[in-house]
Amino acid sequence: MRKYLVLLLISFPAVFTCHAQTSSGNSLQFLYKFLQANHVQPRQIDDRLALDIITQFLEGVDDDGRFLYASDVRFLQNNASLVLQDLQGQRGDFLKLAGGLVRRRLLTADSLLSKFSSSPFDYTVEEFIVTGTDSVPYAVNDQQFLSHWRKLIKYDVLKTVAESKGREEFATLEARFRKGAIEQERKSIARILNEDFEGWLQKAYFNALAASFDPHTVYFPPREKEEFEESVTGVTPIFGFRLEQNEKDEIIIADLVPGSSAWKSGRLHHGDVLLQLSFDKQTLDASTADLREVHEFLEGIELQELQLSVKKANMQVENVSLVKEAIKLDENFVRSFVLEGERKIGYIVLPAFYTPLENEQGSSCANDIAKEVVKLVREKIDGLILDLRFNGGGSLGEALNVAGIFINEGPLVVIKDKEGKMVTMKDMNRGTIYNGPLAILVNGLSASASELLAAVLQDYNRAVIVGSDTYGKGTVQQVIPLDEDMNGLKKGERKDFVKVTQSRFYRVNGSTVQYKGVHPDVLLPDVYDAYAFRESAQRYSLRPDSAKQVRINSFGAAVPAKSLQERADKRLAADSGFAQVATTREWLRRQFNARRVSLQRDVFIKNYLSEAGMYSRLAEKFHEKSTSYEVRNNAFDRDQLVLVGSGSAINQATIARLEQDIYLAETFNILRDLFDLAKTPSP
Amino acid sequence: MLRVKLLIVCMAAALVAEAQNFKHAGEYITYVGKAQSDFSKKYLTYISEMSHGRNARKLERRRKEVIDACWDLKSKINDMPYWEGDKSLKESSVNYFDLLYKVFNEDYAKIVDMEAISEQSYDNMEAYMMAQEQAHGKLQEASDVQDSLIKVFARQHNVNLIDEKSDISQKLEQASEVNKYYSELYLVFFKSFKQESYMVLATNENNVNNIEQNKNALATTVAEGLARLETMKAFKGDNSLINNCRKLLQFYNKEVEEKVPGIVDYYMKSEVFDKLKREMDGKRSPGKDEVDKYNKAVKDINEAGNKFNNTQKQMNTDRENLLNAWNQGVQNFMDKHMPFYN
Repeated sequence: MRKYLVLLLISFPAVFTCHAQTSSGNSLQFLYKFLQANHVQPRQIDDRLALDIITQFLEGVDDDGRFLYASDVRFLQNNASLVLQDLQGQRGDFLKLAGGLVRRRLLTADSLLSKFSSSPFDYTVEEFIVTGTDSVPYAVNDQQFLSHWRKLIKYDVLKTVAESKGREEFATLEARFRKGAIEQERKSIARILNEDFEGWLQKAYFNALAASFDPHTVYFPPREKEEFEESVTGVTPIFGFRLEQNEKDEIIIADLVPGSSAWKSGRLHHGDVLLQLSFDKQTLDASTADLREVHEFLEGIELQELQLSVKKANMQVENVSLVKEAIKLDENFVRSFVLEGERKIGYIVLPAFYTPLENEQGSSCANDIAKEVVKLVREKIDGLILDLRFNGGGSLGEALNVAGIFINEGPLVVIKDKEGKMVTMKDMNRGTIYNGPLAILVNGLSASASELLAAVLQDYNRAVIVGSDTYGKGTVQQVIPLDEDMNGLKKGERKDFVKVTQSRFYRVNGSTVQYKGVHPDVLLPDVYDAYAFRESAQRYSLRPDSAKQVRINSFGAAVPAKSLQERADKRLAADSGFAQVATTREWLRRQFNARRVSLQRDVFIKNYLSEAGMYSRLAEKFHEKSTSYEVRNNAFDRDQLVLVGSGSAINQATIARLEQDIYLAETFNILRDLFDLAKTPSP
Repeated sequence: MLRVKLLIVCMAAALVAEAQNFKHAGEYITYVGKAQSDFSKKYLTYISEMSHGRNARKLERRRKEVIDACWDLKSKINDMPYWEGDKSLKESSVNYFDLLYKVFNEDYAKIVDMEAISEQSYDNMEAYMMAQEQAHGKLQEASDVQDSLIKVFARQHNVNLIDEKSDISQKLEQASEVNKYYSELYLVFFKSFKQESYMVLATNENNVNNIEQNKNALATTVAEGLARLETMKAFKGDNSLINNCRKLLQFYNKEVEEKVPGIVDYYMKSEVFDKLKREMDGKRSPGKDEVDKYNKAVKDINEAGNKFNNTQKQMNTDRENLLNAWNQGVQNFMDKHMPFYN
């Protein structure tokens, strides 16, 4: 179960939810030909590809072995020849076979669940549920199937009991929560079976093929993409987050609209699991609702404040308030602040590399950052921190333009396509806007364009990179419509799209961030490091290779990484916040190793509360107020706030959040060390 | 330009001899020297056109004339006999004209192409000027080799050569000096001129990222340029190019330090004003405070707008005047120092 939470991070950058069309023209062969023609690393049709497709298909329809038996899996694998036939356009009809099987098992599970409603489980017997194992626990016989489901429901019930603060008798709670858990499971099954079963299967099948090429190649129909684009360009008030439902029917945040209320809150990120929504006196339990119900609930809100409760990837629960608002034209999506302490340090946070095409006002993120840098330079800052944590990427061109702000001129990145043709992309603008000390703050969720920027600034010795190893996505995707001509369809008939990995990018030193990420100059511990979610942990991720080195004319002085790390380590050792991070990380690592969770009532609740305590201690220490500096607006924005007056509540909340960010505080100290080291000449 | 030394044979003998009928080695050498001199004249015509002329087609015609001259002169040398079995001077002369032909037919053809795009960027301009220098270097080297071979030949055949500068050779030397001086100064000018044009383009596009980067790059090229000018001396007492270039660079500096920050400021403030205006437009009955604040903002932005327009206008006028002065200065300088030759 927790294994699943980790998997959420994989769909990264956002995957559009797919409700595949059932048009017979959507053949697997057609998609295969398309991928073969466009993907940077084509795959031949062979047994291995067929088996990989089956593995991914199983992950799509039953990732935690709830429905299928081990014998079903073997049966499907033994019929890999049907997948081969589908790939070759010979009507293997693998889905017909798999569909019948899955439908039968879903019905079996449903009838089993209906029987669980009648009497309470026994919570005194010593039995365990195993979590954190990589192998999917498919049942080998009916008895195991039954016990697996019983354990799942017991787990859900106990978890809810442990979380509930009610004073009711256990028996009352048990009956209520058991009913709720069973209902939720049955609802999920009914939704799969009744809404568009064939479409659901086909989506899983097509995406299985796409994912067998690499984790960032995704098949999707255009409807949701269009919806999202409309929400971005519309003037209607929006909260500014797009939701999608994962296979486990959890509702997660897929994207944030730049400049929206959700974007500005700075507390929501891709992959967050929605737990609860409330406004006025209405509340919706998002953990039991489906996407449609959530949308209906959200549509009912007009001027009221929405209280949103989400679970972060590190299991922390965040409560966020949002107001629906139209995105204001000419508003900067990028904000900057001044950290005023012994030194004056500028701070800019960028959650994504957006392009003029993605927002109504046609704002480019590089241009917006440039404006903030100008404001900060006028403040005569001593140093600058650019925060790319949680920045999953976006436009490559924008990332290059941002690099240009800090680099005089020269090659920035090499792009290699499937034919091996290499193109060097350069910063065409001579000059910089800011020349002073620069720190880039990253974490494991800084991906793609963020990694490109961090890498190029590292290679030019232009910035000190602080944080944890980045995600490891050194590839470039493009969303392209499936080509009608290939399938003899009329123009405009084919409506589905594929986001396909078309090329790889390389650092100027010839190496890649693919698979490996960018290793920071100063490493800070992060709870996320307990999770295997980076590119290297993905199935079918492209392996790193290299390109030829590109000559750079001007290097800055080498970053004194070793000395900076030593000084940081000394501080970290004495810092209670980071000590808690390290403790939590180690604890999480143990949690993620295969372990048996007792389903005995008292033991479970005791363990659960102790875990919850760990999270709340982390949350508390995580947000310790920095004593090194105070955060304030830059002078330009301060005048603007006086003038305009709106957004001051968000502004205050942002300032308070920045003052309690231990990573930011440590980066501030690292810049201070950089000044000290520059003063004392190295021996 | 070419340091061509015309070698005059110490004999009062007629300079033009029939190719097939040389009476002594002196005549033989003079014949070769005359061919060289004929080429130099053509070359000087080409250089003169390049400096004074305005017509690209005419310049190209001159280049073709130089090429034709190379061909003709080579044919003449080819018709010469060996001197008493000594093949050396004839062969070296044929090679010499072959090389001149190649430089003008290939290198200068490329230079013509490069000139067409030279103004697109500083790098193109630098490459264009470097190519010119390289082509000139090749001619120079060939000429030096040819001179030394003539000397060896003369010594072997007991001919006494007098090293004397002709009018042509003096003019060529003069042209070379003017070009060297001008190229150096021109690159100083062009580097900032080009950088400023990028900045102006970004200003017109209201792209703060590009404005700021190009503005800061301009500050650097101007500082480098001014420092370089300090080290440059007047050309034969003529300080005009240095002074004009300095005035332009100082103007760019003023733009960087005083004008452009105001422009960027205006762009950023007008964004804030637009936002305020939208808020006001959305309010049904704004309070007195809000109205006062808004009216003040309107007054401020209007004043800033006027200032912005005046700044732009002033900058455009100043820039135009200074560039005209620079161009006129270059023309005057060339007319004054570059020899005319038709």
